[in-house]
Amino acid sequence: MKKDDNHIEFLKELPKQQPFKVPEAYFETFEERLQQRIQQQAGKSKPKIIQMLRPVLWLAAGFVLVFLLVHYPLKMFFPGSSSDLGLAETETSISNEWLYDDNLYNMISEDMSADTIDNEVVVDFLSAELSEYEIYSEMYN
Amino acid sequence: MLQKLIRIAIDNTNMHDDQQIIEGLKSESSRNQAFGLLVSKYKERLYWHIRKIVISHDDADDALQNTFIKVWNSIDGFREESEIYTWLYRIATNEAITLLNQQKKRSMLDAGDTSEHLLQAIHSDTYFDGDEIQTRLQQAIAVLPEKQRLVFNMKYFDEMKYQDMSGILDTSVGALKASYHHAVKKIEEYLKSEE
Repeated sequence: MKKDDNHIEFLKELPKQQPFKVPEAYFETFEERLQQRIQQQAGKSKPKIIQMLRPVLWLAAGFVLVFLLVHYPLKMFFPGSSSDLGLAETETSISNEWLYDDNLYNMISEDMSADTIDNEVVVDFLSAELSEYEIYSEMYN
Repeated sequence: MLQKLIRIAIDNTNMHDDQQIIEGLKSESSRNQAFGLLVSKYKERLYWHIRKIVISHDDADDALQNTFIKVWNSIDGFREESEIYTWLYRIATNEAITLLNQQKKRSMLDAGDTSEHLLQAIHSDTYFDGDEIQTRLQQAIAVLPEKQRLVFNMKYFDEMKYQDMSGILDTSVGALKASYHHAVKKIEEYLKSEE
């Protein structure tokens, strides 16, 4: 207890006055500066659509640039090869899709004409050739 | 006795004002005006509270603005269970400590190096004009652990009641008294070792 009193006595020797000062008219102009910051923050919190899309636009521009950098040199050194090949592949895949649909249609038509639709054949065909999503979209279209 | 009565009367007036401010903040039509009153009433008190934590004026200014911005953004979240005074001091204390931690991260200092940052601020801040004993006292406070530093500043300089401090720092009165006791002891040792 006596030791505590010594501490208190020791504190009395210490200065209570604070050694800090502020710039002139700091407190008088504080509200004004605070208002400006609140307004700035309010402006920042509602970004414009163009600002929100900026990263996406940069990414898209990057893809276009890469495409152009690859496409034109290829076209220059191998004229007609790359683009024709791409088109041919696309056409093949499209015709394959049509082929699948035609097959199914023909098969069903034949079976219909024979008046004997075998459910198992249809289910087998659908599960082998179409995804669940495609079956679902066919059913509801 | 008279002084005590005057203090009680002042406290009651302040509480009455705070109640008016809270009522004003609740309504959208009077919110701006009430917020203006709140800032005007508490800016200096909160500034000095923050300044003692962060030492540098620029940091104190930043933390004070952050405090009021946080208050403005979370007015709806204020629960009247605590006094507005306690709520404001709690936000201000958190903002000051957050700022110190951010600076510590930026300057790649270790976790315990807040003291080093504060000691640097005492020497480099343009708006520090303490004499020799004031500077040494601030240095002694700067090397205290965070909680003891806060408690010492609030008790010694602001003469805040332990009960109020307890609401702000979310610490029991007993623990606060112990922190203050340890802080005083360490400051005494520091100053004696410097002599």
